[in-house]
Amino acid sequence: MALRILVVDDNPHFRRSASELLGMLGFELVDTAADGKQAIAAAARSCPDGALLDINLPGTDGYAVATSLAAACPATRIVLTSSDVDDVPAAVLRECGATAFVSKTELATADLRRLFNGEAFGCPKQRGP
Amino acid sequence: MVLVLLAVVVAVSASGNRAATVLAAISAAAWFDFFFTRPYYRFDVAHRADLETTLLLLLLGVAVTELAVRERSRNRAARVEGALRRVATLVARAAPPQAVFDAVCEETGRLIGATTVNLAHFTPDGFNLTISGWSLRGVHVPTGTRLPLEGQTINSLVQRTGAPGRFDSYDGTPGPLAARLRELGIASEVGAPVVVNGQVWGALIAGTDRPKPLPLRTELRLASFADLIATAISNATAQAELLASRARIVNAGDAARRRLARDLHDGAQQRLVSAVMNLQMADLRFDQDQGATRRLLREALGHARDGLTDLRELAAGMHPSILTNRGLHAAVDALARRSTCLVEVEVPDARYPPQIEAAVYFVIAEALTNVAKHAQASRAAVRVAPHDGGLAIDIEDDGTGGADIRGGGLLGLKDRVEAIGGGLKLDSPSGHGTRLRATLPLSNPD
Repeated sequence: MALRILVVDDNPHFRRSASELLGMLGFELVDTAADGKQAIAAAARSCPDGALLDINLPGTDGYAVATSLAAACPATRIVLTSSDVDDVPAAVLRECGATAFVSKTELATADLRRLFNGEAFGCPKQRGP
Repeated sequence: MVLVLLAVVVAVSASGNRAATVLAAISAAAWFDFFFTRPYYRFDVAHRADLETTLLLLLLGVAVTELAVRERSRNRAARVEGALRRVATLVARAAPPQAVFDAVCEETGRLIGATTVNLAHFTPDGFNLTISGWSLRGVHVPTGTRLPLEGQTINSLVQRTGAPGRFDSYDGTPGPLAARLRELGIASEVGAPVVVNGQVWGALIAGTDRPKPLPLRTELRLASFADLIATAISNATAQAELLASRARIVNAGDAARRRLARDLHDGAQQRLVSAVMNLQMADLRFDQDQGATRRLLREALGHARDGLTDLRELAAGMHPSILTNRGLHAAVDALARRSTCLVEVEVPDARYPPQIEAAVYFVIAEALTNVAKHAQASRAAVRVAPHDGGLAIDIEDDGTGGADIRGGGLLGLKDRVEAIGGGLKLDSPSGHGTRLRATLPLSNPD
């Protein structure tokens, strides 16, 4: 079964390209969001397996959105992305609950499947007894 | 005895009082006649010598009196000059205005022998605001006191007339200010206006608690000090305006850079990211799906072209290449052709230093943008012509008028033009079109 991914970016061109790329790589695009607020709402709705989250978002930045997302859906694996930086220190990723950082221009070549493929799937609230 | 009489005459005349001197000299001559000339012990003027003695004593007395009077007025002039110089030095050193105000109040008070001296500012909403004060007895209207400028006081008199004046009694005078003065025991006051940029900004006011009003020349003394205060205020205002304008230029620069960074990030950068992603996807699909590959390549090309357009427009906004390559005439023509209304252009073909061409171009570009955005004009005219060794730029339109120089764009233009030594003037009565004139020097101010 394909991993269900949420794409969060304020730029519509990127949302389109990323959606197509994720489909090509065998993921299922579950939803897209243009800012943090939409992202939290979408995550609560669809409990994605992974989120591809832009760092440079209007209003609340990607780090803060990641922190909220990680708190709301601990099972969602968050991959931060950006075209402004080449790397994000591991300590920063841990701090905000993200799994990894991948530059926007490396998305096609990075091993996204491994990054999004965690051990636990789905939100805790969905876990049955 | 003769020496005693002489000493009396000299002593009296040294006081500088002419009438007393004449009296002393004549009486000394009379006593001399009484005691030392025949007939003794009689006030007989029997000899010519008696008259000569009287005349001699009179001459001596008058001479000494004149010397004394002159000396005293020289002393007074020196004290006035000293006080004015001390204050003028503070003004010239651009001391904080409050220091100048306090110094003026104290110097003036001591010089003219007043009981209190206050500097009052007449606020635009009709109040009398005490800016500074000095008092011989340590009690005056406190700094910061704000009272309505009403009732009969020297303050309202000076504010109304814009001229020096005096108020000889506050007995029974209505109004809060007069009441305050009675409390302080002020019997009479003299005041002079502080005129800044043609407006009565306030007044320098001296009061006395003695029954006898301050001497008649006090107004003129006060006026000299009031002028120094006016200079200090207009210096401080000019300084504050300069600082504000510099801050605006720096802020405008920062804002422009922030805008540029955002435009680059949201525009060209995202386009190029999309182009790269499409190329990568094309690469992934290359072996399996020719149709998808071709579509992805074309999309990548589209993104790359859009990115290029974004970059070109950004660069043109920063400094249009037509200005660098072909000069002001061609660049302004291009601006006029892009305008929404008919624009008549009259610009010399000559080339000017780059910073002048840029300033003229941005004045015209901003003005034409304003015409398009706000004026609802049917036609506009742009004229650049030599003026006073520099250039004058006139932009006129037949629109709605009512433009405000403090509006964001125009204020930014004014700062920019003033920073290179020029000036900007706006004439925009509501309903009668707008005329904007910028003047620029052709030689660099520094």
